[in-house]
Amino acid sequence: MSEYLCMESSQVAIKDQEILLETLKEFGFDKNKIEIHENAVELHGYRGDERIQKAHIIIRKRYLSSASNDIGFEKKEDGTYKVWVSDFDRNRGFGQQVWSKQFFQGYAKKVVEKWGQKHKATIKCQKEKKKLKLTLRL
Amino acid sequence: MPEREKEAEVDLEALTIEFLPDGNILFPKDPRLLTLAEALGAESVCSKIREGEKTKFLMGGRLCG
Repeated sequence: MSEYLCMESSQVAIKDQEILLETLKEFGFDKNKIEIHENAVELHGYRGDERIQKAHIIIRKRYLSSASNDIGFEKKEDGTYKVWVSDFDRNRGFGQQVWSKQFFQGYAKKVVEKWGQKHKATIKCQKEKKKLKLTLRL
Repeated sequence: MPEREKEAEVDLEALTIEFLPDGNILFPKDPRLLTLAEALGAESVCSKIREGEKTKFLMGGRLCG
């Protein structure tokens, strides 16, 4: 048996844009609801005001709720994405899902699947109570 | 059991990654998954895997944190 390490989702860094977009799609945001910018642009608040925070991948508030602010993913110099979610949105809807680790877990699952394909591993997916197990055989 | 046999046994072993309901992930401390931990950007996990290479056949159970 291999020893296990507990990886907190805060330790998972989003750095694969393709997988990030696939994960967003899984959460109900396909490409026509997402803005992708080569250079980061300002996020907007619920009143349409420009905020100082910028992002390369943006879900505009019109796809969230009338009281929501934009949610953005800003690509940093090290290639990882910083997630911008307002205080208000952290407690509701998609913003809450992003903030409550479920989004990071969904992203991580896709990274495991892509890595498994690349290394020609067989992957068995198993749900056990509320736990999801991915078993890789290399 | 001789070390070579132990190694062969470990190579056949399936590696299970568990996605827990609290949002955390249980990840095998196995050098074969180092590049996966890197792809996940989990630096501290990568360090622990690297540290664990020399003693991989001696460890068992689970370490959390």
